[in-house]
Amino acid sequence: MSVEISSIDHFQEILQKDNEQALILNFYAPWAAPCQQMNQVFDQFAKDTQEATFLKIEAEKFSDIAESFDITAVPLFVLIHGQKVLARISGANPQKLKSAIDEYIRPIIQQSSATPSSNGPDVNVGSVQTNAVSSGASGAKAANGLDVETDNRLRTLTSAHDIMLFMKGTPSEPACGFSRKLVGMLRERNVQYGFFNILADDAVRQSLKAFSDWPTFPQLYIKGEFVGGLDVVAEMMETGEFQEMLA
Amino acid sequence: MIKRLLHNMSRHDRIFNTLSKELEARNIELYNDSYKHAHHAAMKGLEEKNETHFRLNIISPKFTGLTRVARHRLVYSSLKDEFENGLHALQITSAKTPQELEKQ
Repeated sequence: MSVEISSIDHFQEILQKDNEQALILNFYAPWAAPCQQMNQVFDQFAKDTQEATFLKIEAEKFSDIAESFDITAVPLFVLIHGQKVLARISGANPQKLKSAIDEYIRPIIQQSSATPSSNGPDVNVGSVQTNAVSSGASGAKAANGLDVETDNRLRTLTSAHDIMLFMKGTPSEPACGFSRKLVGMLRERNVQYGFFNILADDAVRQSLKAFSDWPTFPQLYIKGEFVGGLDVVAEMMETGEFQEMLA
Repeated sequence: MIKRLLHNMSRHDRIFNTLSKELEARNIELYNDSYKHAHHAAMKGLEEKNETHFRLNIISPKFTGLTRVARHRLVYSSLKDEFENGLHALQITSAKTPQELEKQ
C-alpha cells in the first residue's frame, strides 16, 4: 500500500527504519490534474509491489523535503535504495514509471525476498481509471482503436489544463495560419490555456487524430473534452457559446 | 478500376462528388486555398501541392439535429481517404441544413 507522509518526522522514521528497503517517492500537488491521475496509478503500483515502500509527499506542504530532493516540477518520482537515488522520473507517464520500477526496484526486491516474484504485473492502468476500459489484459484496445496506454496518456494530456490547445508550433511562434488564428482569438479574450506543439511529437500528433476523431490541427479541448478546430471555436466565440463553456 | 478513374479527377472534383453523394449535399461551395500555403515548409517536395488546402460552405439535410462538431466530423469522415492521401486542411466555414438556410 502507498503511504501518505504526514510530517517530516514521519518521513525520517520511515527512511531510518530499514536501510535495505526499496523506496519510491511521489512528489505531487493535490490541485494538479496530472498528479491526481498519477496518484491513482502510484497506488496501484504500490498494491502490486508490496515489497517496496511507496511514499506520497505533498511537495508544497513539505517544501523542505521537496527542496532536499531538488523538486522543481510535479509529479516527480524518486527511486531510492540504500541512501542512493537510483532514478528520477518526471511527469505523468505511467509507462515510464513502471519501466523504472521494473528496471531498478525489481532486481532489489527479488534479491531480498525469499520467494521469486513473478515478471511483474502488466500496467493495468485501465483498472485505476474511472472511465471503463476493457478489463485488464495488456494489449487491450480502447474504443478508439488505440492501445490502453496511449489512450490513457492522451487522456492525461488533454486534461492537463482546463483549456488545452494542440497546435502546430507554439503561441509565440505558430507554424501554421490556422493555429496562429486560434491563438490570436484566445489572446483577444484573455483566455488562459495550456498548449502542446504537435510538430514536436509525432506520436501524439498521429494518435491524437484517432483519439479526437478529428483529422487536423489545431484542436481545442475544454476540461478534457474535445471542442473542435478553428472553425468550430470561431463560430462558438461569435455566438457566445465559448464564453459559456468557460464558466 | 473505379479508383483509377477517380485518381484522374482532381481532388477538387473528388471532394465535390463525395460530398454530393454521401452527404446528399445541396449546395457545395468548394474553394482551393492551396496556393496560400504552397510556400510552407511542410509543403516542400509535395507533388500535389496545389491541392492541399480547401475551404467549404455546405448545405446538407444530414446535418439536422447534429451539433457543429458532429457536422464537421461527418464531413471529415466522408473524406477520410483524401486526408490519408495528401489533403492537409479543410476549412468548414459554414455547415447548415436546408431549413437553416431558408431561415436566414
